[in-house]
Amino acid sequence: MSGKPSILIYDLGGCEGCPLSIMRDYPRLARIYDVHAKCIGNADIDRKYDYAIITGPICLNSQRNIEELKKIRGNSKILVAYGSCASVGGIILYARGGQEPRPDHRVYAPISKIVKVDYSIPGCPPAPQMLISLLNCIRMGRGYFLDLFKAVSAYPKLSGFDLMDEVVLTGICVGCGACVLSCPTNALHMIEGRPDLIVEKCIRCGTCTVRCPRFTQILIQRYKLQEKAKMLASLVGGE
Amino acid sequence: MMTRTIDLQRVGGEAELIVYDNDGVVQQAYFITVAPVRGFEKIVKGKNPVFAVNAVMRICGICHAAHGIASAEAIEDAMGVSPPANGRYLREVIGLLNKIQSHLMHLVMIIPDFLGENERLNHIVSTLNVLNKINNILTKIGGAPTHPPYLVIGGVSKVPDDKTLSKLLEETEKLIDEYISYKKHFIESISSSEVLDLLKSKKYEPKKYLASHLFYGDKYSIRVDQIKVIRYEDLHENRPEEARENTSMIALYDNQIVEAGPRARLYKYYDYHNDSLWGIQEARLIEIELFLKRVRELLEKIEIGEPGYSKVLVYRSGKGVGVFEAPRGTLIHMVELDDDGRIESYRIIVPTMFNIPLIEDASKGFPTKYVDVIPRIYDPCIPCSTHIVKLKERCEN
Repeated sequence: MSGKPSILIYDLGGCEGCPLSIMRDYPRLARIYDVHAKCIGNADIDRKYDYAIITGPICLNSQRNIEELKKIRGNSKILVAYGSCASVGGIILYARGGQEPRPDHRVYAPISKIVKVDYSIPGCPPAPQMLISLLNCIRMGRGYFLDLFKAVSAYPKLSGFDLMDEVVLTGICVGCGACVLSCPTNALHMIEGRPDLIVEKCIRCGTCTVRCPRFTQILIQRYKLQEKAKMLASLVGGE
Repeated sequence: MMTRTIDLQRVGGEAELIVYDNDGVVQQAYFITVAPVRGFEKIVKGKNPVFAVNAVMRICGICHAAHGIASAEAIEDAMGVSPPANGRYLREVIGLLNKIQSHLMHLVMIIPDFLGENERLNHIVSTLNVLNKINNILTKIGGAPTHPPYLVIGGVSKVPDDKTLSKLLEETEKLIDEYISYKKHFIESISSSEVLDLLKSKKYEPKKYLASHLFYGDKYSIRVDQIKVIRYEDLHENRPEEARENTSMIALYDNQIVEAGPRARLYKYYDYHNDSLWGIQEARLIEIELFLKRVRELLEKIEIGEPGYSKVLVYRSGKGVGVFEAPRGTLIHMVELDDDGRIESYRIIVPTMFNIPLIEDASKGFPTKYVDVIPRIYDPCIPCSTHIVKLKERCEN
């Protein structure tokens, strides 16, 4: 198995929907990669991996999960946040805590709050093809997905509300309907040729934002500017 | 006596089994869930019921539709609306497909216990093939293979058209034959397994089974007020230091430990009885076939052109209960709406909470080397069991 790049799929307290959606494409994945996952029974976070695919949110009140996450980060070359909870917080941002038996589990966040994330794929759950395409892009060293998911990893939240604020209400929406088709809860519908958000259905998964041709450009451009600013700042002030 | 903590893999979620071992035989076992508590009952508080259905579906990526259906049923009960015939049938189909999905995924996870390294992959791939076909059918009926969005309050928001329906029927027909031959092949290939013999020879049965329906779920056939939820500490008053960090609750029915799940369903409604632990897995295999046949039957009943959901939402105060037979047993959602029709309180009781004491009890006397198969055969769903349940009685004591 040494020739294949190794890949770890690990859930940190999410709903397990994401790892299972990856497992659907397991035969295809296993041909190219040496797959380690809990549902196959060979997950071991103490060894080194080429890729780590993290699903599920991180509970900031659970020391155990934070330690696990840091360990995985240290042991993997590339870390991918897969699914809405891990990448942009998703529904779990609504968590309030106060529930038995552990009322102290109060704050949940995307994993990028704790460790450096290389790529983030939002979706509830994302199509497994997205992961395979991203891994292909990483291998080739270029590609649209590479830029996009790199940019998403710099965002702590993305949702239908952001789509409305940044694209629809500002008037740059072209009315293509990609967001409506992508929404996993049918929370977007077309009104007079423009999408509108049914707020009570939005679960903040952010799938629409990475499908929108306009919003993706905003994300990528902003990320580039941000990186440039960082670089300039480091040249000027050393920080 | 030796203590060993087994980090359980190939179960749905994060859990540990702490076992006390004497001469290679388990004396005492503690099933500890370690996933953090996400508190979905609190998340939906004050929210619109429409949000609640979409939210609670995300409790679990394995039994997503089961939560969606139980939640929709509870809210409908509180609002006083009911789905039309098509909605009821389609909802049952979505629920059944979800159960088949879960059972097949569980098979993928349990196969390595029975088969050696070489045969394993072939079997996993052929199971995933069947699973992917089920996923395709669910995508057409429910809108997505995970967290189906067509499940709404009042029914199912989209009825498939004539052409899709006949195609689906054809696919289901083929799938039934395919599954029967798959099952035969599976049982033949595992027949020489050591673990299988162990499971077959371990006689273990609960005092009582809990099930409400063979296919759907019926709140009138169980008594919801007889369910009592206790903390894990109250189950084991003298639990050791290692078993401190548990994140799930325990449920009792009629003050008794009961088994919920496939074996309970078949025992109560299908005249099936098997007192060995293998019976649970066998029941699962039987269920998949039964469910597929039921899906075929239901798809034939759907009337094209008739509505799939009652397009009325009544925002008013009320209380409701929804019971659905999830893949792992009886799932109960209870909701209370305030005067504006928003969620005032929400309670969820999941089947794994009934089964945890049984997992611990059944482990006693089992060889320690193979003991991790016991939680697996009960198929606990940790995402479900750790993300719910608020306790009222706690303050009173």
